[in-house]
Amino acid sequence: MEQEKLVQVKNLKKYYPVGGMGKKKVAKALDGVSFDIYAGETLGLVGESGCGKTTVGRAILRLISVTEGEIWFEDQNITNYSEKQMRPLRSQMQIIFQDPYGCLDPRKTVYDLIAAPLKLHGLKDREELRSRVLELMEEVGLRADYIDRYPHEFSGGQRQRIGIARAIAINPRLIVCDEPVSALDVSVQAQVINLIRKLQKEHGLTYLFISHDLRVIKHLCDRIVVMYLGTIVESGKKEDIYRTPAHPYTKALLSAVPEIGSDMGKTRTILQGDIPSPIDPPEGCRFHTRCPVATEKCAKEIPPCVDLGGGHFCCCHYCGNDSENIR
Amino acid sequence: MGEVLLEVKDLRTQFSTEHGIAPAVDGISFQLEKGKTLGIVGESGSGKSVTSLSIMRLLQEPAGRIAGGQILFKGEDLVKLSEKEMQNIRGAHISMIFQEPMTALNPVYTVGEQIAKVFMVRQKMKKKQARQKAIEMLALVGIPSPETRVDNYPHQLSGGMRQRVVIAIALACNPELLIADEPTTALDVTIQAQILELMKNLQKKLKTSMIMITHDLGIIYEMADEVLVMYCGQIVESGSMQEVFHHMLHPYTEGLMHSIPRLSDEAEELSTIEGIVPSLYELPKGCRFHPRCPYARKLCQTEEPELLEVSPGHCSRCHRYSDMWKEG
Repeated sequence: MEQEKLVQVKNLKKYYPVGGMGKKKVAKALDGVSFDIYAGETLGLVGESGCGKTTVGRAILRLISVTEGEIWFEDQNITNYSEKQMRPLRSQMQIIFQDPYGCLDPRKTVYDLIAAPLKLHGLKDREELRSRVLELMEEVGLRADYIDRYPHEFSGGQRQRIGIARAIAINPRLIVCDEPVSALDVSVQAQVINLIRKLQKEHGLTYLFISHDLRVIKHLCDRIVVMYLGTIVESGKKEDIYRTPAHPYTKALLSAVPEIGSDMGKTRTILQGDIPSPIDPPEGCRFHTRCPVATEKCAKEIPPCVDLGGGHFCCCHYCGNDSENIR
Repeated sequence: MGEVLLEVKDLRTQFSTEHGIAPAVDGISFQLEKGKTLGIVGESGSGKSVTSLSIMRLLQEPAGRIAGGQILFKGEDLVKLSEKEMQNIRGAHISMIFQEPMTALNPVYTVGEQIAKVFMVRQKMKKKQARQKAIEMLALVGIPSPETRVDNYPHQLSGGMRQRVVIAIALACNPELLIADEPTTALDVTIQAQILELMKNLQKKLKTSMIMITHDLGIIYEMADEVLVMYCGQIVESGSMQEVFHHMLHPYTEGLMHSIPRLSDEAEELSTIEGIVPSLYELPKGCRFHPRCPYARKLCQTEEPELLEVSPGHCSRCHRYSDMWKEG
């Protein structure tokens, strides 16, 4: 069965000029990233700081321009759409931000905040607006009597619920969730995760879920893309990534998670060194400087993207079947 | 039982604010043996960081103050010490690692100067000798090419490197107690693994006792010998790591454990703790956890439970283990 591709990202590149006047250096935040998001699924984008995961999210929403490559939404190439051309599409794609403190205007009440996207997209009748806002508040688990309160009166989790209500207000198809639970305490985090999941079921939403937390990603996502320094190192179904990770970076990332009840801590592969700067990324495979199994070849040649079957891809010189003996 | 290095008895720390008095730490007691690691876990506002600041006597006075209790460090009550006496304890006997390595370091001095300073002040070393010691410390915490890194400013280092420098400063005088307050929260997971590994190795090598404060139960599981679970300024459960993780007693601990998504778990829905952490100004009557507790009965709304020793060394602040509960 052919699933509908809601978003297609093709060879996306985003370079930021750095170094000030005269110097022609660029930071390669994204360097050739391609993937699809199928309608109705949750695609997880995981990686550490500077891997480009947030940049991907913003690029898809056209909140930033890209240097090269294409972004398709439904059947339109939106890469070079103007602000005006994007307008009608904005109701289709929304974002939930990480910081529930920074993303809500402190001078607006909950009503103003949730009604704003509704007004923007043409709802004018005051009665109708209010009842719709109340409906949304109930849906995200906010009490109706909070409607005239200001953001500072809420806890982080409740603010995040306001953010979520804003995002789903105009029935979008796609929501980019950029680390929506990272700033929350664990008990509240679980509530918000369950809410995000419930809304997907009820509204048939498609999520691009960006996070550094492999535990949260595993819990929520159907397919996963692992990024490192502006490139994709591995992608595939959740089961493949977590049960049979192929890329040495994915393996190290999984083994680095401190888990209750696991003795992984004792046999952990600890990556040496730091994540290199995207201004001067390593030649060849970008991961070779920290890779526990790197060879000379890795320092010279960019690894191919190997198809491991069943939609599982890995960009490593040594992840194919014939390389088992090297490992 | 080993030698007790630190004993906290009925510690109470309060903050007076415009909303009234907030009992951030409300009567906690615990012991730490030499060479052991105590993990303190809790969510925002549980009082875990205030506990560490109280031990270091780093509260912002007069807004925050220790209102009662004792902090016995090698038998000496730190609460009674003057600021000057306390300065001889900090760094030399008790050190602290903070969460945010950027703000813990001074941006206008090189990392070498900041480490050397400790030796110059504490051990009255000459500048040249102190610099040499700083290089040794940088090597100890695993910073590559320490001879050149010693002249770097904090901004020239990555987050992980900076946290290594902070650890180097904390360990410079070989303190007996190291307090680490969320030392890896600001770091990426692969870097976090490096830092935790480093801390474990250094602890083994230097025989330092440690208090590890974190919200991440996974880190506690890996690092701690003993565990305190805090909620609203109180200890709700305490015991050895094995006991607390495998035979948890308190409903809050249970809720915390189940609300973390796990790598080894396939559950559809996460079980959650209903509601939110109450404000310290409007603490619920009776058991502080009762509005969120799935087991709560009438008794919990009126009577405040005590921290009961349910099995040897394993305590829980919950009525379910009291005689009153059994009576119905």
